[in-house]
Amino acid sequence: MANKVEVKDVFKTYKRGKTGFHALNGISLSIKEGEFLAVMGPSGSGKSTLLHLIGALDKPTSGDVLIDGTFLSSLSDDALSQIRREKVGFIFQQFNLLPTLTARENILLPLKIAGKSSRENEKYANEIIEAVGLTNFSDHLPEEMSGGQMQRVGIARALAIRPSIILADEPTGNLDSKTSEEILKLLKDCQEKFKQTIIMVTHDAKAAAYGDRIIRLKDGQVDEEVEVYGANLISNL
Amino acid sequence: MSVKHGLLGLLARKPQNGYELKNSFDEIAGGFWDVNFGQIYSTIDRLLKDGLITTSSEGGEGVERRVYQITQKGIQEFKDWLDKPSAKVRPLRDEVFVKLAFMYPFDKEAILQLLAEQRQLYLAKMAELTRKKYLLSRQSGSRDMLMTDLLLDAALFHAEADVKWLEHCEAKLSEFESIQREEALENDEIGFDQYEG
Repeated sequence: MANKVEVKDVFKTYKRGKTGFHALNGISLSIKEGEFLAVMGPSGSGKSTLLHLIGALDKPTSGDVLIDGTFLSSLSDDALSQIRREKVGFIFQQFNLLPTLTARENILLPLKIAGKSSRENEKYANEIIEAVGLTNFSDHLPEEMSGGQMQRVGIARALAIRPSIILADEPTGNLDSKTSEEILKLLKDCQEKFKQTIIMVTHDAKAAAYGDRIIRLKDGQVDEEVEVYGANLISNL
Repeated sequence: MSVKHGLLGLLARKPQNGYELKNSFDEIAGGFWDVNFGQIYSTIDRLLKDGLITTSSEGGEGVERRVYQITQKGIQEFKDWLDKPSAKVRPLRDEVFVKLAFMYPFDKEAILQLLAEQRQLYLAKMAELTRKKYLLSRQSGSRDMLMTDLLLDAALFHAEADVKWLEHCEAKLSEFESIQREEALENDEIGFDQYEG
């Protein structure tokens, strides 16, 4: 299967006073199309920085990230924001919902921003709302919803643009274990049903266990890699 | 939880032969608690001796099978067991812990390597259990499936705790080593004796 994402010898250095802090230290990594990759590692190991670079939210100090074979460094800022709008769906720990918009409006927002509010896309959004179990809550404001419901909105919003890549940063960090399980199942369903490539950062071993491959970062590099036995089991059913 | 009470519970549902009991046990335990026929039959013998179950034969000559039924005494025993919370905390007899105790302070690198490999094994096992859970969730729900799911959860929570403990060991051992080394440097003597402490 083709590589969806490639990270090639990437360094990311932040200035801290006179010295620099290497958040990423020459990391290289390939992620296959349709793969569910879990990224673990202690705080400060570079997990979130890696996710931001893959999502074109930030640029490496050196090295390059490729999405579908395209070098991100070769793209203009406009082309990068197009990638963010069309190819990548983000899911955050803090949900990042707009408090004055209903669940449905939050979900439709990325389509509006991308200028893609069409009847067909609205119909698709309705399907997603149903798929994530939000049918009865679509008119609720974030403050009227539980953490699990808000994260469902977060996932539906990420899915609305039909991204081929989902980037999730501690998506279950604020949820209890039962709700976490439901959210992770939903992510796994996205991989299975929509064939999306998922990269999830987590410090939680139970969440990471949903991945087809688990890597552990340390000091800005891949320190360990756990291939999951029988990862294709489900796809083969 | 013991095989004894597992078998009593299964026989409280309906009479079964040894082969059926093994299958029912595997179905509920989700395949990660391995019980072999030897354990099933030795437990059956004990239950018969204690009068908790009885037996009769079914089928004709040559294909005769012994079917087991729970007795009134067996039902009472099972109910008593069912109603009481488990007083025992899981004993700490982890093999890794024993290795750790014997390895330290001989070879720090080997210990850290062992801890990392062990953690990776647990993670791989957790991924396998999670896969089972996910497959289970795609089938229509039944009470037995819920129970299997909960057992898988228990295995996952325990493995998660093990992973956390291993990470904790790594962090503490690394910190301890670096403090020891600093102290040794301060005393201007770096020797093996310094690490025993």
